[in-house]
Parts: sequence; structure tokens; C-alpha cells
Amino acid sequence: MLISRRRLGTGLVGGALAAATRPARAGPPASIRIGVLHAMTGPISVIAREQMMGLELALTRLGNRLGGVPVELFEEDARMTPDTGLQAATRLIEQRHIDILVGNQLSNQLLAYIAPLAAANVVVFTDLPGPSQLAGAGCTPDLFVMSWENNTNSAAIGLAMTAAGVKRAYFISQNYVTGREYVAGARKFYHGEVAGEAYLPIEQTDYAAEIAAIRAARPDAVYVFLPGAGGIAFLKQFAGAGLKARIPLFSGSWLADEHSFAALGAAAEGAHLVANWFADLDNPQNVEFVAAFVAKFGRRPVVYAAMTYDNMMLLDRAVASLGGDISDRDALRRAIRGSDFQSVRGPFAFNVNQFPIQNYYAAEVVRSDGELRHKVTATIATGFKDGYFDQCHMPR
Amino acid sequence: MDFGLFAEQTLNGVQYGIMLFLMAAGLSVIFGIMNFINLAHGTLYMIGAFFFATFDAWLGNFAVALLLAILASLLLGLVLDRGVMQRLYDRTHLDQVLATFGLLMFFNELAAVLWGTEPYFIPVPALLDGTIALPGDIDYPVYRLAITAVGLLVALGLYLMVEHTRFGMLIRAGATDRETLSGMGVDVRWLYSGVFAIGVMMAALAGMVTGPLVAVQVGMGETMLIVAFVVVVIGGIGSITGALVSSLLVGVVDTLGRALLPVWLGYTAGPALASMSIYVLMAAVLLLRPQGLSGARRA
Repeated sequence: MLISRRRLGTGLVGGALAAATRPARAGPPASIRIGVLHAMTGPISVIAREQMMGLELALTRLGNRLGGVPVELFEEDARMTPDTGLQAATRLIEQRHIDILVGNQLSNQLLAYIAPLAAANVVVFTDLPGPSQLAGAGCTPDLFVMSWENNTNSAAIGLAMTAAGVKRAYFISQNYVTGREYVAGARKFYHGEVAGEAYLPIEQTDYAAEIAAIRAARPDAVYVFLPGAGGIAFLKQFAGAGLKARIPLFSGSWLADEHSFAALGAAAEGAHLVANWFADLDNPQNVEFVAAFVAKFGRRPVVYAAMTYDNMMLLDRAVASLGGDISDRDALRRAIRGSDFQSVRGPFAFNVNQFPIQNYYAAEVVRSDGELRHKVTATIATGFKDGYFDQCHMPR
Repeated sequence: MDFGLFAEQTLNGVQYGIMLFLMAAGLSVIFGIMNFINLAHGTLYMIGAFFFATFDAWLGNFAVALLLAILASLLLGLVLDRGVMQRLYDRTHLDQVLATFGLLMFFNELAAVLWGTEPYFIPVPALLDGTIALPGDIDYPVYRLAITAVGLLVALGLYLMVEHTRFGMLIRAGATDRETLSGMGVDVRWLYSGVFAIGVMMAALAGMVTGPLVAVQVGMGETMLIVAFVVVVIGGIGSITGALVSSLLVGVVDTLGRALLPVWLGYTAGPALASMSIYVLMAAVLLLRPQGLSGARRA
């Protein structure tokens, strides 16, 4: 037992050494090794697949090259827990020797594998989870966040409710840490009266009791945090109770998007959604992206695809500015920070904590040409920053 | 809370209870008569919803699709029983739990392969769409009233079948003493197949009629299964009357708990207690009547 454990220890150290002492090649490398970690099965695999569609589209458009250098892609199944994520990340580091990691789905997984990836000198991007722990005092030059700091979405929804003149709002959410944080985050920017609250078990899909209570409370608007199957059921039952036309719903774009439009039908129409990107945004990069996505996959993209697509386009510019040589990782990080890339979401810059400074938009679900789609109605916040960056003192 | 809202919430509780009854009746009778624990019962709720969604998308006719889905689930019940379950009836409960848990995973994966992981849509038929004004200033969704009525009709039909038909008499006889029944020349295996298929059909029916209210997708049956087991324990194993009383009780307690406890106890303790109310009810029933509300006292 002792012997095998010692052997295992040596093996691990040896692997780490080998990774750290790989010769830094001068000049353009033969290829850039990109790693992707995702849950290949289970409920969040839909999100992972959407990210891969964005990645695939970007690489097709870039001729499978970043800054002129051929790309090699390595995928590992991170499943859904921090330990399985860490195992998958270790495989990418030790067996695949990746240069850059993109994608990710869960904050707790990212927190588990960011340190070993950074130690192996991998430049880490995240296209979805943006844990606040990495935005403030815990910020690190090893991580670039393409998506958002987790609390900015709820803050933007609160802003949208205030902007819409909501005076009495009802809050309905799943009863766990993230759900309660989402409600608290929105309430920082929504200053009206609270008509009532409901916190429900994650697995609940029948909301008859809550909808009756909402009807009785007569609010101006309802804030909804019910991702996944719960949100679909809620929207259908809310519409079925005849409330859809009377009480507007506010949520993030996940409440009703191209993944759920078919399951929602007319129940989705009129929902007020807030996000940092919508397919409807009118800028040249986005029009091009959405048209190419529709041509390739037969439907409009969801935000997860847009974030990963942006990620690859940003990398392409950064690698090109270095003439394809990414062996100096500090130079690569500088090039990423200073990149002139044009995001599909419009204005975009990295803050000091390497989280985005970006706009938030409000959209409404409408039916046009017989199809449900997001119609952008307003810009809710311009150059919006997360609430943690001033605690970040980036080691340079 | 005024009377109108209280009445509406009670109605919501009854509607939820009726759906639970459709799930729990089959579970209870199969457990009571065949002494068989079927963890895959919740999966059949999901399969029912998928059958219905598929037929409805093909035919565009709610009633015909419902009828076809009912027939398909009866057939599936028969095939499952003859093909798999019959081999498990004489095994220990541990074997049954392991095997049916395996089936549960198999069906979930199969559904993911056949129907994909994105949710399906079943529209509410135009006739049942919208709300109806009830006394006490209540606007109640017509569809929820309709499925409550369907559930009550099925309960009545089940009662008539068990109490007033030869098939029902055989079921009751089988529950009391299956060896004597078998000795009198009744093919107990086919009797079991019939009971199993009807149980499957009822679970699938619950999934079908709930389909237009929720997201039809893989894994939708598992939470219903857990609550259905609570119903079976409270009602008493093997008793259809017990299952009906207990379903309505669990439905109303759960719904009123969700509606009232957060108002009384605040938004921290309220939701936490509301989500455990039915388990507290189950513990209380087990303490006072371990055999369940109308279960036979066991030696």
C-alpha cells in the first residue's frame, strides 16, 4: 500500500514536472492545443452542446486556425461535480498538454480546476460561469471571463424592472443558494415594493398554489428565477391561469430561448428578458454570426454559443497579433487584454479583474413569421461592471 | 387569506391529489397483490407523456392522441410484465429494487435517445384553454378542472371494476390468497399481467394529462414516484380506497402548506417547512397507524 502510494506520488510529480519543463519553442508552434471540459450527458449537456456549436462555427469560419496556426481540439467529459471536473482537467493537462481552455458550465467545477490549469501555464477562459470569488480579492491573471460575473445578470434584471416603472413586484425562485442570490441581486437594483415572495424546491414543476397567490397579491410584475424544466412549466401554467396578458414576467434570457421555444409555444410570448447578448442585436459581427449559425444549424443561436464564438474570435485576433507565437504566455495574456476584437454583443472590454465591461439589453419574446424570437427593446445598462472588481489587485 | 383564495388553493390541492392517485393506485395495488416494488413506475409517467406528445404531434388531434397513447401504454405494460417483471415476482425485494432501478435508468436513456434531451410541447386543446369564473371571485384554469374530472372518473371506474366485475373479484381474491386462487384453476400470471398493465396505464395517463402543464422531458417522473410512495405508505399498501383518500390528503396538505406556511412563518422557515410537510404527515401516520389509513393490520 505504502509502495503503491509512493509510486503514485512520484508519477504525479513527474507528470507535473514534464508539463512545466516542456521546452518553450521559439517561433510559431505547429498547432495550438485547445481543451474543452463539459458535461457530455445530463441536464446541462444541452448548454455544453450549444457552446460546442459556437466553437465549431467559429473554427469553420476561421479555417480551423487561430491567428493562422492550426488548432487541435481536445474534449473531456467533466460530468457535473467538482471532483469529476478536476479529473478531466488533469487529463487535459497531463495527457493532452493543452495551451488554452475554453467553455465550462459550472462555477464549482471552475473553482476546483482553475489552480492546476494555471500551474500548468494554461490560459483559461470561461464562457459561462463567472464566480464572484474570482472577481474580487481572488482575481487571477490566469482567467479570462467572456460571459459575466454571476451576480451581474440579476442586477441587470433589477435595473430593467426599475426602468420599466415596476412599483410592486413578486419574486419567485428556486430555494437554494444561487436562487436566493439571484433574488437578492435583483433587489439591490429594484427599489419598489415587494408584493410577495415564493421559494420552491428545485424539483417542483406544479405551480398552481404559487400562481393563485400571485393573482391574489396583484403585483405589477413577477421576477422569475426557475431555470430548466421549472421555468417552462411555470410559463405555461401562468399563461393557462390567464395572467400572462395582465402581469409582465421579468427574467434572464434562459427563461425562454431557442432550446425551450418549441416546448413553450404561445406561453413564452411577452416575457421580458434581460441579457448581455441577444440574436436580435444589430451590429455587423452579430448579424454575420447569427446568419452563419442559422445556415449551419437551422435555428438561431442561444447565448452560450455566442459566448464561445466570441471566445474563439478573440483568440484569433490575439494569436494573430503575436504572429502565431503563443510560447510566451504573458505576452499572450497581454495580447488578449489589449485585443481589438469586435464582440457579437457590441461594446466589450476586459475590466482590471479580466471580467467583462459590457452592455445589458432588454428583450421581449415575440412571434414574427410564425416563429418565436427575442426582440431587443432597450439598452438597460451601458459599460456595466460587476460589483467586485475594485477589490481586485491583479498581480502583474 | 380570504375564503376565495383558500377555496382555490384547496381545489389546486385536490387536482394535484388526483394526479397522485393515478400514480399511486397502480403502485399500491402491484405492491399489495404481487408483493412487487416497482421503482420504474415513475418512468412510465414520463413514457406516457412522450407517447402522447408524439401522437399529438403526428395527428394534431388531442382526443385521438390520448386514446392511442392509453392503448400504447397498456400494451407496453403487458410487454413489460410478460418480458421482464414476471421473472422478478418471486425474487426478494432487494432484487426487485435493483432490477427496476436498472429499468428506470434504461428507460431514461432510451427516452433521451428516442426523443432527445430538449423538452417537448403538448398544447392545451382550444376547448379547454382559458379560465372559468367560479363562485368566490376565482378564475380557475378550465384544463385543471378537466383533468380533475378525468382523474375522478378513472377512480370511479377503478372502483366499479374492482368491486363489481369478475376481474375485480379475482384481483381481490389474489390479494387475499393467491395460492388458493391458483388452485381453483385461475391463471394467476395472466391476472397479474392485467393488473400490472392497468397500473402502468394509469401512471402513463397521469403523465399524459399533466403533459400540457409542464415540460415533457427525461426524468420528469422521478419526483412523482417519491411522492407516490409517500401516498402508498400513508394510504396503506394494496388498498385503492386508501390510495384515494391518502392522495387527496397529500395533495391538499402539500398545496396548502406551500400557500400558507411562508405567510405564517416568513420566507426562510416557511418554504423549508412547506417542502417537508407531507413527510411530517407520513411520519405522523406511521406513528399512529403503522399499517396506513386503510391497510390491513399485518401479523
